[in-house]
Amino acid sequence: MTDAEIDIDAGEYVLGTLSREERAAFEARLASEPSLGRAVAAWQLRLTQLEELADSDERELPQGLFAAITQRLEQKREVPRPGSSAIEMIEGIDETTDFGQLVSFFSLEKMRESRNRWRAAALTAMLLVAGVISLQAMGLPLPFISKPDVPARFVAVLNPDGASPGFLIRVDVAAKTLNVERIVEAAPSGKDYELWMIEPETAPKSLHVVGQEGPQIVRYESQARPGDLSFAISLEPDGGSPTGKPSGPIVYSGKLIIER
Amino acid sequence: MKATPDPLLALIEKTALEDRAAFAALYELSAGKLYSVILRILHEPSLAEEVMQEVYIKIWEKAALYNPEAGRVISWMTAIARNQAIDVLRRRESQLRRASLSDEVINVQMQMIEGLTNRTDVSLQITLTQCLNEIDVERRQMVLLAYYYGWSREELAERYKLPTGTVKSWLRRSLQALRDCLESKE
Repeated sequence: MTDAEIDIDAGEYVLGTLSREERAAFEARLASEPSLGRAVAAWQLRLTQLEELADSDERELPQGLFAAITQRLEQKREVPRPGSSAIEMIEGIDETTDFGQLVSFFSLEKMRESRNRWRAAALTAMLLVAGVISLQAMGLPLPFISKPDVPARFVAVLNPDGASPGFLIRVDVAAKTLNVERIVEAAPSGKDYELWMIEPETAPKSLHVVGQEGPQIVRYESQARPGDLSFAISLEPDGGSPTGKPSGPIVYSGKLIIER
Repeated sequence: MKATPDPLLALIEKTALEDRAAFAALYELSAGKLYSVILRILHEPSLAEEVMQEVYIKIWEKAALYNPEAGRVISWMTAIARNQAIDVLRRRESQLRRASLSDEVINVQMQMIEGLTNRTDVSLQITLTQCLNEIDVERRQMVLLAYYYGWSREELAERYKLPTGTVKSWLRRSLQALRDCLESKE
């Protein structure tokens, strides 16, 4: 695909005319292609000018809406707070830290360009909560978390743009099991979601067709460090990929980053 | 981009620092606009309300990512709102089919988009209007119906009695023309 076509894909994404599957596939690409993010931002800038042409017929807001928003933010705070832990994490790292999983989504250089350190930290925090696949690991020695007795969480980020979570995965490293929970709607009729594990420099390994109602336990085998694993979900024909490799679009994917 | 100060800039910067009062003020000044953008696409107030919650949670969480070089705060927030509304629309397409829209609603939408490019009072957007007017009427209508009301390729194909593939390529060519035109006049 040429750069020009990719730019128009970004245009169609912003315009909103991509189908549900195409949107999901596009958002998966956004996670790994910074140039795509820039193209999307440019299209947003172009197209939101249309708002200024339209009459601004502001509607009366539903009662209690802001209260509902703040209540949900409070609830989120009770879950491990993205901000504080991520800020502590970033304070504890330097360029030699094995932090590749996290910064692969946002280069350190770009963080340095940020207006100040807090902003970079907050940005990291945002990436942490944007997790599409969230992996919880128990009792792992973690290189840059100062209190090893605190249970650690692995979080994989699909999309710096903050797309909605698709699947939640908790990892039991000792038992080598994944607890997979679907958050999005079920796969369309005649299709299945298939889970893939990607170890460094190897082809994706199928773990199972996933996405039934309720949590599902999947066994996995890997010698790689949890921080080196990625997971992806592809949309496949009923029963899973006929080829043993992803044959349909990757609709969700995430690398591991560590949250406390 | 524009010389006039952005009234929401200080608020988004404070929101990035988790200042709740600033977030509340930001909501006060923007929610009416975002709600109308979302409702325009989704039509259902209860669904629009759900989307509003998601949007403001994202704004709270992503405030630190806002970059003034990428446009005004309200544009950035509008892009988040539209994106979320379109996501919901595409995910629930079968329930929210445009077929359920009455002719009356569609007529209002058509009048709105037709009126846009004839406006003479929007001096700030002269370039955009000029560039839109360089696109053939039907093709322009398609882009505008998609942008303002979230029409899908299939819905446009049905209305304009064209194959979906043709709609897709027309939309893409129109976007390309719009981009090239806007860039040439920068």
